[in-house]
Amino acid sequence: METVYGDYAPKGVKFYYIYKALAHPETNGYITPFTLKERLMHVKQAERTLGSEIAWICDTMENDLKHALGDAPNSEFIIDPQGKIAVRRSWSKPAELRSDLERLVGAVDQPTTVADLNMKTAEPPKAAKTGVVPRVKMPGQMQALKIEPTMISLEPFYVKLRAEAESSVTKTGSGKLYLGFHLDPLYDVHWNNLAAPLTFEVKTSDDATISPSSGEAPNIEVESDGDPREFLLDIDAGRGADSFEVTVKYFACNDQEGWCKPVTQQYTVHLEVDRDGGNARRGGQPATRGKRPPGRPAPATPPVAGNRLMGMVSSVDVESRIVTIRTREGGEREVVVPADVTIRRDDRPAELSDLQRRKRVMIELDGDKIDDEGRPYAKRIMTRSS
Amino acid sequence: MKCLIFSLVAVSLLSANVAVGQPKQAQSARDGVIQSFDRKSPAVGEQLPDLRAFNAAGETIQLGELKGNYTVLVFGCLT
Repeated sequence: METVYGDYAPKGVKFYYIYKALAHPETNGYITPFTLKERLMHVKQAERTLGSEIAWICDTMENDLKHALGDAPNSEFIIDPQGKIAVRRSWSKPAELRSDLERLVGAVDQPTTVADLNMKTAEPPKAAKTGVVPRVKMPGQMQALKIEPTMISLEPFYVKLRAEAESSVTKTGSGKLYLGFHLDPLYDVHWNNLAAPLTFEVKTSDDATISPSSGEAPNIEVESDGDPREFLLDIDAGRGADSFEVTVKYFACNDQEGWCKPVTQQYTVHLEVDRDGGNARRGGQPATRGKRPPGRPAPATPPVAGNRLMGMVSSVDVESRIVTIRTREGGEREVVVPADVTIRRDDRPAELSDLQRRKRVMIELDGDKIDDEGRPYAKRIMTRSS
Repeated sequence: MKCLIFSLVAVSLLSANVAVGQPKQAQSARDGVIQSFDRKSPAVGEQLPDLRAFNAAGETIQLGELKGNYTVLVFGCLT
């Protein structure tokens, strides 16, 4: 994208990134912002970490642009000078974008390459130590619920609630409910484990029951950490109950500014799926890009026949670009999939996200190349959908 | 190439063919997103909706003002 920008911005083409609701909250610690101010802080983070000169447009907190323009996480449009859609694409593809602009605006004599770029990127903010408090094991696929923070104080929501539920909860009113209290890295805060732990209390209508209706985070030996405090509850919403109230109390501490203060905040949780709530990838531990989470053992490494792995797709981590394959010998193997790897599904070009669990796959490896975790690199991937 | 940090929707969708006798096929998350986008987004030739948004400084802007030049819009987020 940056190379296309570099070539076509001087030709008068305008470029904008549109900042939208998080598709995967909790990755790198980022939590769904509650206010426009916080979403604009995310935009600042994006500017810093990407190092791009492309300007940003920020979607409204009602996600109007996302809804009106197709509800896709990385869609791409070309608007003509009359304001009409000239090109639309569900996934951004810079190579195709360049072809479109060549057709609409004209070709560039010497296209910019990635090697020509000199982008000053930065790492995401370093949060407090994580991996201290075990994550809860989710019962299965959960859906984000709509929540409404109640601004009873001028304090920011240093800790943000993420509420999820089994699909049975929104359909029948009963099932498992997840309440996760996550530190927001925007505020550079951590848990002070020398202070009283986080507590919460739930209030429901007379018809509904939530058990337990209150809870307290565990006492932690380590002085401070950045892990979320999570709880799994049982809910029976009864007849007509469509929301409940959550009150949370905690101490938030910021070492750099030298303060530690008690905070009480409230939420209304609606028993309604939040279509803009994204999907948190947990895997039992906070995800870090490309690295094995602490405590998670490496999968068994069966021998490789020649330079190929053949088996079934066990899991696909699109963001970290790691595929786990269950081989014919019965073991599991993680493989790193660089962005330029050729992937084909049913003999047609495909993307990493097109790999489907439990489908046959053949991965040709890139010689003896391995990463810091000992994972081999893919050179070519072929899979079938049936 | 430095790519915009974006994430894919990880929810798997199952779809069943309507025709009798055809087997159910697992649909990848990507297929679901593509189909939904094709259905929901404005078509080529339609006017870009004149929606309110904000620039990075928090100032209100209108998408309808994106005229006079070709404009590229790409959606994304931190995660």
